[in-house]
Amino acid sequence: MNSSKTILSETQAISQAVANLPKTNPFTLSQEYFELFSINLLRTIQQSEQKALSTPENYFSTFPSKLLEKIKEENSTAELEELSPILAGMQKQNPFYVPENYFATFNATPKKEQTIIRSVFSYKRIIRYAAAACITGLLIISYTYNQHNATSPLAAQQKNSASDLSLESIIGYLDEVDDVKDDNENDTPITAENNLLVDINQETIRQVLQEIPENDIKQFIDQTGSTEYKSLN
Amino acid sequence: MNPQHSEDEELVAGFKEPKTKESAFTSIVKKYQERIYWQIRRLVINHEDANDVMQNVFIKAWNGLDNFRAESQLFTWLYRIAVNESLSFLDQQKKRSNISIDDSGLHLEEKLQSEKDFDSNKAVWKLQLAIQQLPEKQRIVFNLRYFEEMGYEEMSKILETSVGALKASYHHAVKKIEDYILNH
Repeated sequence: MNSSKTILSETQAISQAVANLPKTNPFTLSQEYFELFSINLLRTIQQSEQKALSTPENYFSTFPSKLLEKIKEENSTAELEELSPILAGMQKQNPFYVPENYFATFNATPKKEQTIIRSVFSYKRIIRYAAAACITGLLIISYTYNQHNATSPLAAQQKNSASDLSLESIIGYLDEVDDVKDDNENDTPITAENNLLVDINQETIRQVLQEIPENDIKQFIDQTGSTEYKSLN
Repeated sequence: MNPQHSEDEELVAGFKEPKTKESAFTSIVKKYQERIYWQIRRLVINHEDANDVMQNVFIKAWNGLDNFRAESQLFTWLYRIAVNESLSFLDQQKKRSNISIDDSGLHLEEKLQSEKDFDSNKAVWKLQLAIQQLPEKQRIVFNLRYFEEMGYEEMSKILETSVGALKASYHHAVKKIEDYILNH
């Protein structure tokens, strides 16, 4: 500290009026204030330190995750209860099985991908291209051959002869074909199915029965007990 | 070595020992509380505000004394905290009350007028009113030099300003106060 005299003389050199002012303290303060200040201050510090130590272990580190979990749980349950009370009442159990110690031994580092080297000149590819070229060639050749035949003199002659046919000769040809068809239909043998379609009247049956000897008929009636024969006669 | 300085070193060493921490801290507070208080009080005027600021100063001292190095004097270190805390308190108060820098003197004048036994005709109160018209830096310099009778070297460590600048500030402050007293 500088001596009061030095400061006073310095102030006097600047301003005599200020130097002459009284230095008494106009502010008031209770006598006890400084006696109690250090005690009150230590109490305040201790309280603030106790407050800082009063949280449970890992409280702040686990707080966000716990809070989120709770919010999520409350929201999803309420939503499900509203949508389907039956489903909300059901137990939420995971039916899926995970191998023992799977998560403990889970290795998150991805396996190194093996680079597949593909040859630019593949024999298989060449063979495929060659086969495709052969097939295309054959198709072109056959098409060209057909085209050539279509334009040959023989083909032209056949085409011309067809166009020369008259309408009457075509109709005559078709009639002949129909007659042959009718003959073939008449020659068709009577099968069991065809026989059912034959119309058999009582006269025909009587003629058939007259041709059968009477003894055979009697014998047949005795065996079967049928009366149909009497009524026919 | 300065006996004051060696005593402070012992107190700081005692604070760093868990067994003597509280007793050493109490001794430090008791040793410097009055000087720190009046420095704060002259800046913030109101006792309640001064009490709040002083508590903050010593709480900061409690938290920082473990890392305090004997390179600077304990008193200088505590004074620097006190000045900074007082100025940040006044800044906060200005922001809260929407007071412009120009009106900050008026705000402090009002606070002075609400003090017990205030009498604007008395020279002591007139001097206080004149001090409140000064800019912050000049106000601090004037208080430290005029009331605390602090040397410029020590003041320069507290305020981290050159001795020449502090002398100029004091000169300007005295002249402004003179002008105020002669005109009021």
